[in-house]
Amino acid sequence: LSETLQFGIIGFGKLGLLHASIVSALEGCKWAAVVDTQKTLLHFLKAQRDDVRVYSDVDQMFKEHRERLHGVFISTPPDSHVPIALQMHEREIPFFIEKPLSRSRKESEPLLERLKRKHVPHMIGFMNRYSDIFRKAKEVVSAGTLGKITNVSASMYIDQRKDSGTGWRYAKETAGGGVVITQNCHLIDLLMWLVGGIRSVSSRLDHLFDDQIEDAARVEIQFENGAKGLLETSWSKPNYRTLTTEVSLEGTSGKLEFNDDELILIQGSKTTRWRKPDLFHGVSFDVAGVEYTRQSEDFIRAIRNGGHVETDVVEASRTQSVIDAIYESAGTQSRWTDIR
Amino acid sequence: MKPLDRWVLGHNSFFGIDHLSAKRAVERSQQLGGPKEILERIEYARECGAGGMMMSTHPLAKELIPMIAKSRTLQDGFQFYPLLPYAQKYVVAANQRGLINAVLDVLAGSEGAEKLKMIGNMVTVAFTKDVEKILENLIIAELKIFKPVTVNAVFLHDVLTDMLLALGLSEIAKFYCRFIHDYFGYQPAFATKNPVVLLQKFLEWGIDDPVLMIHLNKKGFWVHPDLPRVEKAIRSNRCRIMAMSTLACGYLTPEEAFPYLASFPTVQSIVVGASSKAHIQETFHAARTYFA
Repeated sequence: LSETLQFGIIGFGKLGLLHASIVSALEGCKWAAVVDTQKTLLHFLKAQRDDVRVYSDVDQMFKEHRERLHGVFISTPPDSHVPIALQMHEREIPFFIEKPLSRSRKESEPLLERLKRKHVPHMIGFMNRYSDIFRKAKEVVSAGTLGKITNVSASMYIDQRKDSGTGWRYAKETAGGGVVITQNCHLIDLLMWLVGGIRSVSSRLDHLFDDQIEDAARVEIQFENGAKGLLETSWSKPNYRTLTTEVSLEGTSGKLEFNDDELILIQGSKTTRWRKPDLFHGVSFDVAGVEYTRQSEDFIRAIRNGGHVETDVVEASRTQSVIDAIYESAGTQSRWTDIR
Repeated sequence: MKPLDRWVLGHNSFFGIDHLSAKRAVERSQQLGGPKEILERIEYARECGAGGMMMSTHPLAKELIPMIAKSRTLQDGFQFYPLLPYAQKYVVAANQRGLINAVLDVLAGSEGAEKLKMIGNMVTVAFTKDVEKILENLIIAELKIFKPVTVNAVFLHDVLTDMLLALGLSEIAKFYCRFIHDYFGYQPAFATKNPVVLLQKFLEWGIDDPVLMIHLNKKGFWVHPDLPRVEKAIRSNRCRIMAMSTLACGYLTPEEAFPYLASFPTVQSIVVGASSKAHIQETFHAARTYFA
């Protein structure tokens, strides 16, 4: 495809706005349509951008949009991810789904089935895989520098939920759960990317504000390759203004510790340190972090010439299975639960 | 055209923000101390040469500004450079209640009899003038706390500036310039992560000689798309720059960093960090020497 690619944004919240900005800024791409139920936003957009077609639902977009859409970004609440993706698949429109893929593994199965029968370029938004620091971690692990990984510990914290709150993020029926599915899915994806598949989990969840969704979790992990791990997360952690990740991977020939800002590799008495400025590479346009731009560029490459994307539905559904098992284990007094 | 202060104190360390290290930011926010300790550090920075300071509309700013207004040390020409809005506040509110409701919350807290009418307008906003009216109320609400102090330039947060650039919202950018200048008498200014694109777009949009806050350091850290293109753009376009991340978040020493910045005629001002008194003294001394 050498023509200008036209994109639709479905769900115009924070991330919808971000994706609209990035595709608008990237060369050879155009933001052509938006779907949202919030009338104020739609009116605002109409007043500012008469070249962007504005629709109140996906069916209306299919019915009324005259030009070909080369891709859509689905940034609605998780309960609608799979139904909308199925509609896109049916029309062979490449789709990008914000994480998490769905509320449960089971919910994503119809999409997995359809994609098995017919491939349509798609991607799930686990943008951490595009961060300079986490890419370096992947490079170190892939080079075999750590030997066989035996112990993993990881945490992800933010100070975000301070009361029971309103909105879809804090409602189980739309989000599928609390901090584990909404925030910690990033860390599960990252650990599986670096260490490999997870065999079973034993978990404990803490509810700070209501019985509906969890605010903190402690998960023991058994990886398929024999490594053992501990993962801790909370979105109500005081003083953590932004999302903060810390990981330690211990192997038979080295240890790698990293967070969002630096990596430290320890091999015997030798220590190597990489800080953010050591690894930084600029992007053509940065709105909210280089990883978002790179992620969109990968999706666009996949649409143009079938290029590889970091996370597809198959991979994201594995993460979803781990999340299911975490919830199941917590509901059965932390019993070790195998990943299905 | 009011000149920018040569050395401007950064606000991040006062608010537990650390762009190099999230972990350090957490540690820092646990040791910030109260507004009184922060005021003491600002006064010390003034004594070391700070002409003014950046200040986002962070919740702490509301407490700090009245104290600063009363400080004798900060009476004589100390200027503020507000950065608006405090984006994190909107992110947290939008997580809870959605983007539109987050905006409505701020409007509901704004002054004036027009506020209820404005909230009504949010539902049917259909014309540019409606959008402008809403933005006017948001800006007035954000800048209200700065009334007791002297303000030089008001920076629009880089996420918003960069979205305006990406989405081609030229009318909103022009409105911002007009409103900040005409209503408040302050200089409109823009923080951006994409100065090359901004300078090209602003030329097309007729926004001349903009005041910009950009990441600039010889390491090229956080410089997009790359250092050579940014260097060329700021040498060949009319603009006035306040440079931030000048030490590449602690990667460069002031002695390495500041002579490089002084080589650009358009770099009129640098943001200097202030994590401790010793840091303030050392960095301002180097700034006076190498970025005089």
